[in-house]
Amino acid sequence: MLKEALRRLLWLAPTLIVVTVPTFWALSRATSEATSATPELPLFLNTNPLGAKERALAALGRIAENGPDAEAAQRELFALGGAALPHVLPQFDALEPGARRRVALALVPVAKRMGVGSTNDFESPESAILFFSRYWEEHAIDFRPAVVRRAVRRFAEHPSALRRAEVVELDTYALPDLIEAMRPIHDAADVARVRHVVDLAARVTSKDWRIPANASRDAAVSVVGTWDDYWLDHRSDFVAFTGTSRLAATLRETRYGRWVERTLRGGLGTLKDGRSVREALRERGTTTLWLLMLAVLVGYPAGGVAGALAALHHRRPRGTAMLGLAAAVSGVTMVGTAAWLSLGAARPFGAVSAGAAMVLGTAAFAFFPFRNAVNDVAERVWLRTERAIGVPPFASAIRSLRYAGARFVALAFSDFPGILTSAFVLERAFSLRGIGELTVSAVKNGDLAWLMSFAFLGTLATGVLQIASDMILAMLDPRVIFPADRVRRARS
Amino acid sequence: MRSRTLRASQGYLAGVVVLALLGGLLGEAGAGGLSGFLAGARATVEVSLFVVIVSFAVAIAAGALAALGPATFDVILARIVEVTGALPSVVVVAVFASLAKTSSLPALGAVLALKRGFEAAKVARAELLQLSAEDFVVAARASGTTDFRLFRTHFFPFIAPEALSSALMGGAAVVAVDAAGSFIGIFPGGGTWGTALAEAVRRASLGSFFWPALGTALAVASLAVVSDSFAERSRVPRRFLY
Repeated sequence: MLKEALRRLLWLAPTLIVVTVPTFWALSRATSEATSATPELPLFLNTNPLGAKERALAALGRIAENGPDAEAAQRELFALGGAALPHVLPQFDALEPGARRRVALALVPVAKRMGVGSTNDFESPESAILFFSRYWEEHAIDFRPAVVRRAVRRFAEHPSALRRAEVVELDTYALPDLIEAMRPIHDAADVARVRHVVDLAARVTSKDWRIPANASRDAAVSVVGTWDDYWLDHRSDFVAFTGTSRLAATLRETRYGRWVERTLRGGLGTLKDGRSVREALRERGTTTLWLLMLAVLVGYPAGGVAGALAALHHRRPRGTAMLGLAAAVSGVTMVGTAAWLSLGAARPFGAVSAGAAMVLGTAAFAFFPFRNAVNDVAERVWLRTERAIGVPPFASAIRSLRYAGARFVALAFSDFPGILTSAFVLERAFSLRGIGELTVSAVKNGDLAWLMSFAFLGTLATGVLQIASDMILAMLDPRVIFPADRVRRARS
Repeated sequence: MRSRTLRASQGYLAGVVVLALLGGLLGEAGAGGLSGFLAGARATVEVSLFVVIVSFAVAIAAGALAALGPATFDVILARIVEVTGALPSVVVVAVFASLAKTSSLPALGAVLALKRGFEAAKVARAELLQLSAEDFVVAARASGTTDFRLFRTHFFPFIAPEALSSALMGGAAVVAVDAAGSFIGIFPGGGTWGTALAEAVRRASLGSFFWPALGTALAVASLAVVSDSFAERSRVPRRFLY
């Protein structure tokens, strides 16, 4: 049984992919394309991922042509910064003189940010061309991954002015290693280290996400989280895709790929109002979780015991009365809460009332299948004998739970989304701040981040609950053989 | 008392079906009060019937394939249930309606029919797994009964009532989910009891609220009673086994 559970847990990862791909497609289609954070990316497969090299060469071409978008290309080249130099400077000699002058002038702000060259070097286009040609001859060897990694590591370990200048000179070419150096953050020493690294990253990207002096660990983690989000969206501006990284980029540089990466990092994305999904879940999830726990831990068992009792009083007034009561409660619970709201009545003890309504509603709906299941079991010889020798019905009901458990367990776990819907209704009716309001708002506004997080966590919970349900089923009834076991036994 | 409850439930549901057949003759869709209640009955009943029929067929077919067929079908059913169970019905319906560029009502019918069908299939699967270990099934297998005959005579009579009961509860779910979705504001107007209810809640009008609220509550309760009684009646043959 344990082997079966482990096997299925391992299958959860491919299952999540199988589930999230169509869900992502459907939600992307259903939500507005225009509001997507990365609308220019393809959904699942990027056959031509654009990295730093492609972007730099495209900007170079536009500046060289001196067309109407040359100014925008200059701005782009400035943003690409040092990461563009290994692709732009080797092309210098191939450009015609006019284009070379324009490109050299476009690179002057980058050089100033890198802290290289003097005023004399940039006083005319010709001197700038000369400077950049010489610079590349002397410093091309510095723009290599191993050199950059060592420079960043040295700076992160012992940040001195000299080591800082070394990394500043590499500009955005060092950004991948700077981002990597922002982790881990365990203690105050890490915060101090990361503060210097973040400061440098902020300088080369002209962003203002810095860690203040004496900041707490949480504050530092929050700032680094912002950098993580930035890096996820802008990595392709600073990294050249070659070889296997290009192959990986065909999947990573897609809207789905970015969502997966963000989710694997535990971020789950950002809502349209700017808050992170995790923050929203922390803020709103507690209320909904309490309602769900009440339903599963109180409502379902109560419905189970009531159903078992009704089955043991089969075709007697007490059993029929319980059936009528359950039917009435199942019909009235949701409507009753709506009535409460529509009449504008005061809602005393809102959370308690919502909890009571949740328990009653769940118990009423759980009553029917459980009564049917116990009805079957109640005809078995040992239970009939028990009743004949005078065992109290409640004791018999409890004992019969195990035998009728299979159907009940399967049903309880598959009803989870329904229970969640009930929780949303009750949150609305009793004005509770749960995740229902956020979900409704996400559906209306096409908030893909929230809906995908919701689908991902829902699939994960359903998958785990399905495994738990089958394990409980096998524990309750040892005669149960899973189809996979059947095949294995047949083969052996 | 039990038979009176059942007769009352059946009578109420029959009355609703008659109202549905009369359609817009007695009321106007979107109107409040009794008129809106009468007009909303048709849309609600149509979708409920569709869900009952389709989910019953899906439950039997998928449950049997998962429990008795090749192991692959069991895995596929588990994955499908995970897909359909990932989001609450109201959210799936809203997304589906947006995707198909249709109103929420056809989307509600399609989504709930499949969702309830596959959920019921899981229950049927669990039941079939247990039944497979029963003495009478082992005896039937030992005596050379074919798989088809085994399913028709020994399995189907046991799982059909449960599946039908679940399908009827699917009909109740249509009413409940429609009301829930309209109430929380996720479904646009569809001329059903749910939208009438939501509109009454929005206007805080007791007069407009009374009939759709009563209709919804009685429909859910009646379907629950009829579903239960049907399952009970069809289960009678099993009693002779013990």
